[in-house]
Amino acid sequence: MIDLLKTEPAKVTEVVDEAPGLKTFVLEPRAPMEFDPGQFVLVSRHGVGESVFAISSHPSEGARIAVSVQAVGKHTNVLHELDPGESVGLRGPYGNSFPIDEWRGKRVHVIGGGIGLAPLRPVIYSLLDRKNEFEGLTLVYGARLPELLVYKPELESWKSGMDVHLTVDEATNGWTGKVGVVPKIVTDLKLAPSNAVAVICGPPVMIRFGHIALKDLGFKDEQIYTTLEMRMKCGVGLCGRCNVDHRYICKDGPVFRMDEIDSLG
Amino acid sequence: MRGVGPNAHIKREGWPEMKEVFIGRENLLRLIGRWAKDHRVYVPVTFDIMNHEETPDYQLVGDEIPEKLCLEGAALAHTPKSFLFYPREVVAKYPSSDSEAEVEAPPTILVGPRACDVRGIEKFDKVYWSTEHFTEEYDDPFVIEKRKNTYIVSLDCTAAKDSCFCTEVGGEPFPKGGFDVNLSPIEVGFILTVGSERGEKLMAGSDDLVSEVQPNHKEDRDRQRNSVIEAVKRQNAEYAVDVAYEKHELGEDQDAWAHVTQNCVACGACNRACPTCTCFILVDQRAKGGYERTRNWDTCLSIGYARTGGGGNSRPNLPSRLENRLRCKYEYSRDRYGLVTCTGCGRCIDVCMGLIDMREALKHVVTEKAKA
Repeated sequence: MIDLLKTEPAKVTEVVDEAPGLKTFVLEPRAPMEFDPGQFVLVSRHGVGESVFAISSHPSEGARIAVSVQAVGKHTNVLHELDPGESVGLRGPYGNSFPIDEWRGKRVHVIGGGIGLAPLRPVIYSLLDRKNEFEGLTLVYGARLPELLVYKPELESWKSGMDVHLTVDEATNGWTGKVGVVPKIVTDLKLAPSNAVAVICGPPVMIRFGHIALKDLGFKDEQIYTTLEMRMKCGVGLCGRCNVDHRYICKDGPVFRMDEIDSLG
Repeated sequence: MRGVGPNAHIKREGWPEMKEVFIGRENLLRLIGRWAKDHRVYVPVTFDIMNHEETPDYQLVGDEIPEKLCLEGAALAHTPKSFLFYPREVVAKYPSSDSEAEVEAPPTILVGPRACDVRGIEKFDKVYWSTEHFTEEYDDPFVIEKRKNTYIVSLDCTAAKDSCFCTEVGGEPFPKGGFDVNLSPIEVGFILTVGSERGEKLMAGSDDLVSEVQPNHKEDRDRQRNSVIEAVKRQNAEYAVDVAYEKHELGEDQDAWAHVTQNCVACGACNRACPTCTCFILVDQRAKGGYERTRNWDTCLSIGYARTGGGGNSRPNLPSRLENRLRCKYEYSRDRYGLVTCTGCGRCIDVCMGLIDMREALKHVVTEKAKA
């Protein structure tokens, strides 16, 4: 029996400024953490609070766990003050994961918006590691403004292994790429549903319209995966906070297939 | 670890060796006195406040059995959950190398839970012990150790409060299982039923206090039980709905939900009084020598309950939160744990300062669905 609500210390080894108000923290857990793409951790600044974050690093590098943090509230703003060498509390990994093995032989379309790329990054790493097992890989990723696109160096490097389509809602700072919201680009690209799955994560409005766009292209709900977020306290199905109907995001999710979700609430 | 917890000893539909004996009132007091030597024993007592007799509540037995001991009536003011799941408890200390949060679980005997409370404990067992949902790594010592060390000495109800409605949610005003010892008050004393192996331990060495149950004792008990069942049913006739309680599907009509919520002020008293509300919030704060994490009862009716960083909220308005609470009791728990977690204890009605009667509320939203 262990105390499941207790965190282990983890050292901040690297802080990456991804975009205004958005930083990625690389954490070194006491022991390497084994996790699957889609799982999440709870990170805490002692005495301030604890928040849930998708793990955004490579699943085979459990000694270095990355979380991308948008400064939106009290705790995340305090986390943003962290410097390398400082320590945080860490527990997890919790939740289910993307069933990547089930996608073998198929074309995988990864669709992300803004910080929603964070839980998808481990998926992309895994897909690229085994890209010969898939018929093809696509990434459609967008943000409101060019400077809000995250993981910029990787967006470039991934181009060698998958079709990468980047877009912004508003072209500023000399942006010459695609302009338009992600669901529109999905429609324009005419992503093919045949022998394919789509994985989508982003702001709720983007998921909603992305879902509609995919349906219009002929995707069935059984072919579409997403990962949901709710406020959580315990992460293990006890505190009751993250329910969507009788299911808990932390135990039954965060990864769901669209046919498992009646509405996105 | 699995299978040796409280569940292993509790057969909710009757322990095969369930044994019944008779015990007189004086001997029962002696038995409680014996228990009190090596346990914290809580018994129901009545309180007079400003010449007003309040609902009986638990009181710790000291050197003497409290004079105002009350083994009759219906459910006590508080649920047993406070003993299994403290309203506030330190669950972790940091830096942990220096100190650990201590698991407090003193041997405790609760005399007084009613059938509705015993059903409430079942929810805790499902949440914290259920092997379908949890593996050993998720065992929570703070609740489980208390559960292991808390003995349930339940009581048959001998009367119904105005708010009682156990019969409307599949219950009866006396427990059939899930207790360690049950006491059925009868004219001349009590029928004492041993409901578990743990209960047997409680009774070890007390054969001198009990005697054989006589047929007229059982007749008396059955008469008593039936009369309370009738009383509860009678007072709930006006709230009857056509749908069986375990098949409730609550309506989607937002006007209906707004209607039942109009007097709610989101105080959360119903959550706190409920035997099956188990939600909590974790709070990290500075403490002597470092930091501590406390677990606190939470209320799903508060606006902050589901609020996320940045201000997002999946249940921003009060009707949606009361809706979530009622759905949790009637639909979500049933779908998740196979249990309707409203036990009909009526405490949410007793404590509501907006005078919301959950039976009326339920009738309103169930009926609205039927109309739609």
